[in-house]
Amino acid sequence: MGCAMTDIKIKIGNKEFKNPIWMASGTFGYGKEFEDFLDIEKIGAIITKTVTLTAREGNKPPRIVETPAGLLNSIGLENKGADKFKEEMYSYLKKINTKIIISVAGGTGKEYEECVEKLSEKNFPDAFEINLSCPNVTHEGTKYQLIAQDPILTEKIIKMVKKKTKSVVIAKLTPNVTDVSEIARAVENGGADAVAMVNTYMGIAVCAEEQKAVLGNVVGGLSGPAIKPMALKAVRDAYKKIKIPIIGIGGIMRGMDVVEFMLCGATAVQVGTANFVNPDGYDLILKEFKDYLKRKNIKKLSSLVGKI
Amino acid sequence: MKTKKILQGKIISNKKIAPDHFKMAIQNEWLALKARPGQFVMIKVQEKNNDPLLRIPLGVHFTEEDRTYLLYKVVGPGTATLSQRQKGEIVSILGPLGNGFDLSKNSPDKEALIVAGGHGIVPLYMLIKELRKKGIKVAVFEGACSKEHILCENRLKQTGSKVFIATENGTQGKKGRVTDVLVEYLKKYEKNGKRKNIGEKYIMFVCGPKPMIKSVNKIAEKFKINTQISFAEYMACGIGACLGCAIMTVDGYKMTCKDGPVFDSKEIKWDAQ
Ligand SMILES: Cc1cc2nc3c(=O)[nH]c(=O)nc-3n(C[C@H](O)[C@H](O)[C@H](O)COP(=O)(O)OP(=O)(O)OC[C@H]3O[C@@H](n4cnc5c(N)ncnc54)[C@H](O)[C@@H]3O)c2cc1C
Ligand SMILES: Cc1cc2nc3c(=O)[nH]c(=O)nc-3n(C[C@H](O)[C@H](O)[C@H](O)COP(=O)(O)O)c2cc1C
Ligand code: FES
Repeated sequence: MGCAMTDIKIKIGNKEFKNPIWMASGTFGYGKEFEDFLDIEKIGAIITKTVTLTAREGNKPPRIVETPAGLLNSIGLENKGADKFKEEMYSYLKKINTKIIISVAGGTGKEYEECVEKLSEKNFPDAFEINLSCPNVTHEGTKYQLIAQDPILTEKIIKMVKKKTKSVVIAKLTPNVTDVSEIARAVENGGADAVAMVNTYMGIAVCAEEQKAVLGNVVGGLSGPAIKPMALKAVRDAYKKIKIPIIGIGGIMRGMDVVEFMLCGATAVQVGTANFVNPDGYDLILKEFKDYLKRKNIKKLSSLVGKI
Repeated sequence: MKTKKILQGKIISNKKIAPDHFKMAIQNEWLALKARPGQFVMIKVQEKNNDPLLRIPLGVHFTEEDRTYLLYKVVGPGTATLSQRQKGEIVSILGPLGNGFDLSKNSPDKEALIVAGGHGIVPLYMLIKELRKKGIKVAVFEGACSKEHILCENRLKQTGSKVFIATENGTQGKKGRVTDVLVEYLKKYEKNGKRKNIGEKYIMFVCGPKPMIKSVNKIAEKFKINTQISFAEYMACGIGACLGCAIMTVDGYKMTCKDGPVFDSKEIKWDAQ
């Protein structure tokens, strides 16, 4: 026969992942919510809903609305805070036989640092994803609304958290910038092991009938198939400027979308909004991806990465 | 044992029953067996492409043998697409979801007041059938903009419930709001000087648009009636993963899909609604 399966394991930092298709923060709960629908240990990695140092209540409803081929959300990082998260979720998360990545965020560099320090244990988690798409509370009044729009602060925060943990550090970027590759370079300089992109694109949904914004927060973040072309471009722009691996995110629904991200420069990807549409959809995405590799006779994943 | 699944359901019928409303029967044995009054499903309206993208939440109207009935109003792309689906086609359904109405606390001698605005009757109908099976007296208060939009009137009467109707334009029943008819009903009882323990005589179940829910809650507070309300916040996942369907309660935000959609009226933080 001689048609050995392509090795789809990948390495980021010092960690090996069983495959390059992961679940995006905020779209997969803590994994538990999906156990009725799929074998979550097949997933390459699970990124938890973002945790902050102290509890956050989240934004005023309505928090979500569908837009053409997309979803606009303004959840507002609702979570119970690092202590409660650790107390309630760690024993569960540690038992899952796949890589666990904890997403953290803060309003200041110090909050990121403390949050990572608090959540770091000897061999857990496998990685932190630093969600930098947060309002910058200390620099109020500067031109940068979000931390991930400020290359200097971004680099500093990555340096700070790197010192506090032995886990792999992935920086997650917002696409709401003039040039995302500049921010990607900043996190690379800061020592990040990889960069994940993109978070949602800021947008507004309006109800003309009632002459008001649909979301309680007025502004939300757009995700889903509607953003895929822009996300692919962001990944390709960054790929040209940095050496660390890129984890592509944005509108992935099927196996072919994974391939598209790899061709633009992604080493791995994350599935987000698709989890809401098909809570059992992971198996099909993975299968379609593997089928493609077989059909195109691709021996090494790296031969796909950044090909266009 | 799984309490919810992604199921394939065969469309048995999908018919227009009112100017904007469709009734759909779906065949799936497991769903029909498991669904309880007040629960809902997330239904995928199409499989062809990514628009409309999300599943839409619809209440379980009632079940019969291996069939689950849905009743929906066409308001936008999701429901419009669903209304085009044909008999014999297969749809993907996630469910049954949510907590449903709680009948455990109800004493059998209380009369159930059912208050429905528009398609609010959808989840309440299954509840009424269940209450009647237990021999509980039921009075239904149903409101809509006009006569053509009054849903399931005959079927409601067949359950042996008292049915009171209000339409905004007065084409059927009392002209005005459903809450006016409800208050009238309660006041009749009050006239006999028994207002004090009116709350002991009734239990109330409510579903409808937000403004109606709010005014029913005021009535519930005034007459001290134990009240359960089914809410319909915007949803994306239906399984507690996206935190999109938040509703403010006295204990902070809760998720309508997982902690609800039915809440006791005392759990809700009303000034945040
Ligand atoms: C638990 C639950 C049960 C429901 N049960 C039923 C049911 O049995 N029958 C039925 O007809 N509808 C029901 N709904 C509402 C139904 O889900 C929405 O009408 C539907 O999702 C609209 O999708 P659309 O794409 O057609 O319209 P959209 O374009 O999404 O919306 C059109 C308009 O409808 C309104 N709308 C949309 N979603 C909601 C919502 N969740 N709550 C209030 N207003 C909304 C908005 O004002 C919007 O402008 C339920 C909702 C929930 C959360
Ligand atoms: C409801 C919702 C909640 C999200 N919450 C988070 C979050 O807490 N942290 C984060 O880094 N990204 C969050 N995201 C962004 C996703 O992880 C992802 O970057 C984005 O949705 C784009 O991918 P997609 O198009 O596949 O959904 C959220 C997205 C959605 C739709
Ligand atoms: S709809 Fe996603 S949490 Fe309720």
